[in-house]
Amino acid sequence: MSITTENNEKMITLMSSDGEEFVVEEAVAAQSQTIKHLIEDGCSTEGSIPLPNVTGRVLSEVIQYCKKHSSSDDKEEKELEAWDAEFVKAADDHVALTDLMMAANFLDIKGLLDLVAQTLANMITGKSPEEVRRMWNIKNDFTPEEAEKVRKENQWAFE
Amino acid sequence: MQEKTNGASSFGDDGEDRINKLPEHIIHFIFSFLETIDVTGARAVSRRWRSLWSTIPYFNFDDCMHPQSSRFRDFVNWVLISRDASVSIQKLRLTKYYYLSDLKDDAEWFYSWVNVAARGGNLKELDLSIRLESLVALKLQMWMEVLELPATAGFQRTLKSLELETLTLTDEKATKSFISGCHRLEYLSLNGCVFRDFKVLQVYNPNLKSLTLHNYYEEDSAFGCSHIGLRESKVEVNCPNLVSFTFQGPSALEFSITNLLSLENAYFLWEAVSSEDDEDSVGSEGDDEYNKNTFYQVLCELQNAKVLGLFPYFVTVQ
Repeated sequence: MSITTENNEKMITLMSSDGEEFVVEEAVAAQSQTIKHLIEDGCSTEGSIPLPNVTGRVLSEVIQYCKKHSSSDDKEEKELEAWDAEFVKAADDHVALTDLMMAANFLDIKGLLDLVAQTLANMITGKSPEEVRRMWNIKNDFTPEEAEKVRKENQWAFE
Repeated sequence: MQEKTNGASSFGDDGEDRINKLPEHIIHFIFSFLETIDVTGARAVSRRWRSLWSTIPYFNFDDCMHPQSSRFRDFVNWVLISRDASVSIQKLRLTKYYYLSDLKDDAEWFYSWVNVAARGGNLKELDLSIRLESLVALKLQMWMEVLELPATAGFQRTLKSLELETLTLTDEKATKSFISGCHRLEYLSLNGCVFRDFKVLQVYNPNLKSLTLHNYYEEDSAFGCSHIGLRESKVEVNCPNLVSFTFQGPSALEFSITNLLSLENAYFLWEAVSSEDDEDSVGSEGDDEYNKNTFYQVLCELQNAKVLGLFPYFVTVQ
């Protein structure tokens, strides 16, 4: 649905997988390449844009990110970096981060994708395989022989 | 394992192993932010992670992780051999900080790694951060690919010979400052390069002894685009120690040659533009007049040369 505000900003409505509606400025939503293309293809004129892959909870976070990044310009780069750091910290469990990652991937928002991937990568850095398993609840499914083989190869690599 | 690629909402709420439910390309993308050695460490997490390691298309090799030069080499070789070769490499970053003990040997390894990475035909990002503090000669031939010259580089202090062949330069200022910053540079050759958006190509260098510019252009080149060489760029040369200056090919837009106090040999081999449509216009009056002007202008500025070879196709004795 296209609504125009007092500031003459074109608004569009995004609908999450669980039916929650978000009215946002088109410029904010268009940070998502996926939404941008949907708008360009005229998919937004007949009502709200449905986003079947993103829940309301995740979408509200994504919109928060897009709002911040569409209102800032280059001068505020430092401040924006600090804001990004706080943003991922607030989502600081991997459940929220993987959800954000999937949403950023589906919506094609490069900045958010980079930010979340970097955060998840940082969580791996410097951890032993056992620590990574514990952190993310991953099952060790190696047979003892396989585990030994990988261990030996890695021992060589890290010598 | 069945991959669920249709989004966050498909996940359960128990938080169990959500990372593993991410599709392969997303985990690869996350891994691309890690040093390859850390990804290698993470192989031991689970079977899936081990298989993800072998199919990753992004590589970051940094020798800071292996202070011993031979270990770094062995590690890179081992990774490139052990990976799934059917996956083409998209990104290769090689950072070599430590001094090269045997420059030639290391250079050959680098060459072979870049070749391995390029073999899949899918390489999008190549980042070579090499501390070549003792580099003397550099030759790059890149089949019209864009080279972003750094305005400064560590090896500028030692570089004596620089040859750039069939590559595209896009930054006029960086090119100028790179060339003028190579204080020991004696030999410079720019052969068949594209100078994209260059108003002027400036060769200012205090020690340069030999300069060769092989200008080349072709309307519809084999590389799929017009290769205009220096047709729309001015050439400015200011090199007090230049002994030999060769310019070959069609004329640049304009020349400004100053301060060639040591010049002994100058060769200008002018060529007609080889374009089929242009057969008539090459000899047309306007072009001829223009070429003559450029020619006399160059002639005046090269008058100190002991040997002066000028081979213009349009020479007319006045």
